[in-house]
Amino acid sequence: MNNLPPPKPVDPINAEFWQSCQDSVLRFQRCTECDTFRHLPRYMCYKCGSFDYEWAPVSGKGTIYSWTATHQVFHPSFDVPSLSIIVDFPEGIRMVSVMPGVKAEQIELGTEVQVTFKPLNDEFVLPVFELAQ
Amino acid sequence: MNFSNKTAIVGVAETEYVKGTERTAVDMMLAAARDAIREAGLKPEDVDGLCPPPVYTTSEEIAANLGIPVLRYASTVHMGGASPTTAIQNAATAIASGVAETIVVVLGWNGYSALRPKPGRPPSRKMGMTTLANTMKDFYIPYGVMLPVQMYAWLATRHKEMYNVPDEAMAEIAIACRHHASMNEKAFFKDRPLDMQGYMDARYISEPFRLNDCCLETDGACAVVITSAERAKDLPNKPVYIMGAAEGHPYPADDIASREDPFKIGLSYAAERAFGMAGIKPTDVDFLEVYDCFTYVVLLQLEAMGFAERGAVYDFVKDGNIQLGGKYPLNTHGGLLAEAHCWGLNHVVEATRQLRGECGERQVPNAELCAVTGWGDLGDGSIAILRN
Ligand SMILES: [Zn+2]
Repeated sequence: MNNLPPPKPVDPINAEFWQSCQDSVLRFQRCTECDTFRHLPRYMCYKCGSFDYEWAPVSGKGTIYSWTATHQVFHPSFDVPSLSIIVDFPEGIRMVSVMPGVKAEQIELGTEVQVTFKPLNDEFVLPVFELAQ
Repeated sequence: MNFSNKTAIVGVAETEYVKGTERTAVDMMLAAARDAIREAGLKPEDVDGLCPPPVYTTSEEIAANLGIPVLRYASTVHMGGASPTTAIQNAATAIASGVAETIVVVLGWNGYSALRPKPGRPPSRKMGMTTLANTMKDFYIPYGVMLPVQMYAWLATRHKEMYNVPDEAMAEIAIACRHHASMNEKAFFKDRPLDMQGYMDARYISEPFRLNDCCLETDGACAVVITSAERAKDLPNKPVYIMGAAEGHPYPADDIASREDPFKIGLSYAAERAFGMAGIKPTDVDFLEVYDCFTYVVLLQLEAMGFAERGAVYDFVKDGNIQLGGKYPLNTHGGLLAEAHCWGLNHVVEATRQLRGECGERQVPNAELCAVTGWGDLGDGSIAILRN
């Protein structure tokens, strides 16, 4: 990741997710009616139908659910090989991210990982993952 | 009401499949649609329904160009590569219920040229695909995940790690498609044989996908004409009846990462319904045309249809079982991997020709029953069961 452009969501609910972690704390939407976490961001709770939610901080610890090491250059901003992952969180949600500097050989299903924050420019940090200590 | 056996495919056509063309997607779709209607022994004014793709054009534009004065049914499916086969279902339901009598399903695109614009030439019409754009743009692309090869690699990695599926299973799909393409004049990879060593030696694109796990990017179009079983009797071609069809969507359909069971794909829901409507078991089919954007996607669909237990698909695809001469020849034209990428409507065209007995060297002997599948947009699925 050399000159990665920050995400510029059109949809306001998606923009809230990226704004919510700019203080380097990972947060996900949590329904304030039934406490169910959700990700991707949604306008309403799929469990109870409530439109009320908060951005609740999580530990950022999870496990590897799947991965791919991409070798083909698809965009000049991304170094290859790039290890993109799906992280499984104990809160019952999953998210897509990357593990900069980590090789596929270092992980397997269930490997413990934790969030860290990578500045893309002076104004934006991107949540990425590293091997749990 | 059930539309089983009430409709038939009576005409098919394709443009040439190429890498690089001056022709626009609309131009190619119109040519394929015109030729399919002619091949059916019909005229454009006999057509009263259109199912174009969710990109590049509209029913209105196609009708205006072809000269279809009375359009009683215009329907577009938003399921990516699963759209054309779902459109077969939609056409069959519309005809069986009397909404329309004769419908053209058409698909064409600049799958090569749109990605490689020529300097100095005006930009061609935008593809305008909106499905999934938000999820990908806002949550995958910020991490460098911008193409299906990467997203479907997550599915493949999890499946092969959980069930110890060897790379040879993926190779069997690539090799079978390439072998079948060698008998297909239209196939882009007609003269490009592939063996196990060649498969394994190729570079990785996005693990576990090597170069030959990935389908072609081609320009081209094809079209299929469907009419009532009653009308089909009076037309020149041997009718190919639609015994059953169904669509299905994984949950949630718009995020590949969040599914409780990632291998419960759209086809997992659709297959049982389609085979049930047809009144046959999956193992009754004589051959298979399975959407093959990537080899592993075929493996997942074979399991979803019940040809193998979860994780046991290698046993189904090995030992020549899916090659011509085997029990279930798969993608007898070469598929998206070796013929051309026409969103799988070329699979419907091939199935139709096989069931008419027109396939020469690659003809499946005594072909009577076929399952055609579609896959798109992170795992949406569609299936049509066809018979002669
Ligand atoms: Zn709730």
